[in-house]
Amino acid sequence: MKEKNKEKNLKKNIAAMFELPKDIMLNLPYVSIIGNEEILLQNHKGLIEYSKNVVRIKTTIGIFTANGEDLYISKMTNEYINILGKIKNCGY
Amino acid sequence: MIKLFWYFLKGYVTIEIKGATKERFFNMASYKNIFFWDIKHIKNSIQAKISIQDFRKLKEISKKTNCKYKILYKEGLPFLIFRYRKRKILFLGIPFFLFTLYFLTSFVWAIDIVGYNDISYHVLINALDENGLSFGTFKHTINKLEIEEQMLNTFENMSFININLYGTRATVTISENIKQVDIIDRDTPTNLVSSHAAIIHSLNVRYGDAIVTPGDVVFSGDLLVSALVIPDDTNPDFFNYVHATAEIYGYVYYNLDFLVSNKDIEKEFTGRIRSIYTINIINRYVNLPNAMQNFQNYDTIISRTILNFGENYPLPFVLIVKTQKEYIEHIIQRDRQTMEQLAYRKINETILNFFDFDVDIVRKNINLEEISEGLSVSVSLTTLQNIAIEQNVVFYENIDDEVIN
Repeated sequence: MKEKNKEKNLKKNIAAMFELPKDIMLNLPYVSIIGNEEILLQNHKGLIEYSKNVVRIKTTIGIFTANGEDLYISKMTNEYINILGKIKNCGY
Repeated sequence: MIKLFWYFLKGYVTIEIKGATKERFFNMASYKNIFFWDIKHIKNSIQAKISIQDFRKLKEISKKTNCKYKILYKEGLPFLIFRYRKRKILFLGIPFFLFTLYFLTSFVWAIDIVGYNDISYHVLINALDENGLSFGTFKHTINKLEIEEQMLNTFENMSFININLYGTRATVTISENIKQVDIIDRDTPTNLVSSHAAIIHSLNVRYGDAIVTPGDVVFSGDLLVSALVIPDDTNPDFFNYVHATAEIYGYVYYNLDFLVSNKDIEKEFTGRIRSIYTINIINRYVNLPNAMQNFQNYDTIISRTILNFGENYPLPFVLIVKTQKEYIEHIIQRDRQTMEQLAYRKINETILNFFDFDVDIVRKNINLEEISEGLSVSVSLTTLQNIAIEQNVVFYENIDDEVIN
């Protein structure tokens, strides 16, 4: 566990030092939100729950949850998920 | 968008997925690089769109996740072709239509000319026709440079021409030379004669010998300023001919008589409309039959619609609609005030159309008299205007000819 944390910190420092994108270096999800209409989540690990009001997606740092109304997934590949609808809140 | 258009060409299906582990179904599918779009949650099931190739890979996933799926809609080009596979004429008609369209757009169907002023439109169109650019010319045989050169040779007062072909429309942009100012020929001896019968008001003579003085009465054609100048009366052998130049203002009288009728025709539209359709196909008119009866009195409105594909692709088909609106004539009586208004309007219109701007109207007498037919209007106008016009001096070879003439 300690070794894993050490490796993570090292990667973090290298990314900060050379100004490299953290989502690639640390394998983090990359979330783009456009207003309250669209969420683009890259680097996901799979869909956990999907209904009209809730979308839960597994990522490397936890479960990303988006709540709202009339949510629907406009596109889904193994790289990204694009959610449209009236988004009320989202977080991990 | 391009990706979705590509899937339309390749064909796609809308599927409905039911089961307890629908999310796992999608995870496994995306792990196998299967692309879904428009994933919607409807009641207990999920609807999604998927391409035909990817749809065939779903069987294994369905078994593993214990989810059931079924096709709701089949969309895209392959399904359309399959649906209409027995309509052979349709498949023959599509390429025939496309070929006809391509063939028709290979001709010039409209010519626009921009920038002409002194040269008339019809003269330009005829000249273009003679040089090889006319309505219905095959586009690929047009030699623009050659036509431009020939046009410049034909018209001396044309300084620039450019022919542009956009679609089936040819736009010809021309530029004309700036008009040269006429040089006054001071060497030709000319007299000044009167253009109207008038009373002379004032004279401003620059060249020539004034024959008239203010207050004189002259008639049309009377000599006002002579080209023959004798500086010294005691020595008549010493003379000179000049180009007479002068402004001679005189009072000219005009009379205008007309009648304003006391009866007017008022149109009451009945609401009945008759439309006559005519199709113009490559300068040939085809009238479509019309079952309605002819109206006795009607107004006609003509509208032309050119069939085109965008602004630059007009085709040689024009639909002409003649809309006839029927009306009934009612004869109404005009009152004195209306007749007077009409009379004054006509007087003003006549003055504006008939006289130039440099003519001053110094007096205007209007006499209105009501008669049985309406209002008799008599107008007498007095104007102050330049009455001098040039007339070349005629020289006779000997005195006998002058006497004979």
